[in-house]
Amino acid sequence: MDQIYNKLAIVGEVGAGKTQLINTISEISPFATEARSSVDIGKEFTTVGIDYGRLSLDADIALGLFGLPGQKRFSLLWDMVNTALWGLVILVKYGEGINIDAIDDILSHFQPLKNNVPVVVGISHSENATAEELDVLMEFLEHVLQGHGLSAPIMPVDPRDVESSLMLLQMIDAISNTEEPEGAQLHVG
Amino acid sequence: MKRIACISTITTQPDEGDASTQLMALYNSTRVYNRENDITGVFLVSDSSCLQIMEGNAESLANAIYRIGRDPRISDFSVVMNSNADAAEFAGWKIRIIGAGTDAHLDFIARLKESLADKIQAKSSTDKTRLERFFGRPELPTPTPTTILATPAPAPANISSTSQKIYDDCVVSVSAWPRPTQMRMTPELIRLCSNLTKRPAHFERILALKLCSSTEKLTHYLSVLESLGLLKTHSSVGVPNLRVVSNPSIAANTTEQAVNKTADRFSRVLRRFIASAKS
Ligand SMILES: Nc1nc2c(ncn2[C@@H]2O[C@H](COP(=O)(O)OP(=O)(O)OP(=O)(O)O)[C@@H](O)[C@H]2O)c(=O)[nH]1
Ligand SMILES: Cc1cc2nc3c(=O)[nH]c(=O)nc-3n(C[C@H](O)[C@H](O)[C@H](O)COP(=O)(O)O)c2cc1C
Ligand SMILES: [Mg+2]
Repeated sequence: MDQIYNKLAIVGEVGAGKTQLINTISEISPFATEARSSVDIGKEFTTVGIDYGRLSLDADIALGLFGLPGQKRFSLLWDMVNTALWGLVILVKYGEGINIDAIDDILSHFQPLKNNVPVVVGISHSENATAEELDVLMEFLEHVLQGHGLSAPIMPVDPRDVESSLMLLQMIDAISNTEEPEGAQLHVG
Repeated sequence: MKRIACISTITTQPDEGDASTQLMALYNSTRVYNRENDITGVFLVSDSSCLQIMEGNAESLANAIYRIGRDPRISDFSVVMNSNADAAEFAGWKIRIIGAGTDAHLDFIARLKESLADKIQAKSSTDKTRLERFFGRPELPTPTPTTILATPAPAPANISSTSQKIYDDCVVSVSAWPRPTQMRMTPELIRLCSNLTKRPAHFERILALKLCSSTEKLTHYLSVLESLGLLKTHSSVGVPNLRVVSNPSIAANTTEQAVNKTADRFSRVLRRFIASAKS
């Protein structure tokens, strides 16, 4: 049977929880436990800033998890991962104000709309935020996404929590499995 | 440390997008600057008037004032308060957009008025009029509604009082994802939103795709989305010859089918795994 390897990019500022999210998901791999260390590409790149983990779903099916720093000066690293992405997770750290310019840079560079890549925005470090505080931030983020012609789910996430982390994957899966445009078209005739 | 307040008028530039985009840009550049220079404070907007309160060391503040004074997006800049402060009062201030007229907004203005209003001094009659936009006139008991970053407050999701509108003959789309604070993200709702944010679909079509298990559920989701201001409806009545494609599977070429098969298999395995990991 053919092998399936999909790539998920996780981009976010320092301390947003990229490494944590990758560890949480990799550690629950139902298959192959040596995923992290067996991949030389991971080791080679962590030093220059790419985090790597893998969710092995079967002998021949895996999801590669690539953590990338959120600042534009690392766009060289972004380019290394930004091909045939299965999904893009933007991790925003709640609490000290967000850097909209950085999120703009990420969206401009990854071009998820053009590349037809599903996007989910996760807000980490938000367990103590009130619903009202979160609402305010989400409204702001919606505005930023709309500036790129995007509508994407924005949700609180705790990268330390398995279920919460998996919710991000569930979202990407749901978005990538919407029908192809032809199927939903209305017939005029 | 020092705490200053300044009032200014925001001028929109003709070729730089709509007013709210420009306001966001101004707000964002201010925020980034303040963050980099350890300045904390508040940024309030009411129509074109802007009241900024900033606290930090004297030199940073002087630079900030110099910078704002030269910003082409701002005119009639006036410092209306300059005081010494023992500690930052707005430290830890998080990014906030507060809808005009909400409780949070009125509470905030009341708090601000109590702590600062007597220290703020209008230097001219324009300053005075502009300040009144934020704090109201002294003789008025409640402040006039102001906006802290003009953004419409989201309509509350009032499900019970929403009379169930019939969408049977509608083509619908979703303009933005609901926030998890507004609606519980069930798998059905996720599927529905991911389809309808991408493109409009006819009610019957959505049912045919089994995105929702029943007509009632679909109607319910759509009405909640509508009450949140996220649903766009286009009645198909009056649109000539508009029909729903009856067969959902459209013949694709073989490479597309292969790609889809791979995607399907990945998705199936992932879903099975997520379901087992959650239980
Ligand atoms: N309380 C809390 N802690 C979190 C959350 N997400 C991550 N953390 C913790 O925050 C710390 C930093 O997270 P990392 O995963 O190392 O962040 P990172 O994005 O990889 O950061 P860099 O590699 O420095 O760019 C870790 O101790 C995480 O466990 C969260 O949602 N809540
Ligand atoms: C089970 C499995 C695991 C894989 N693990 C990795 C990996 O850890 N890192 C990686 O870069 N590619 C991994 N691959 C992908 C293959 O090496 C793939 O050929 C490579 O990413 C080149 O893809 P590209 O030509 O589309 O860039 C894996 C593939 C499979 C089937
Ligand atoms: Mg890290």
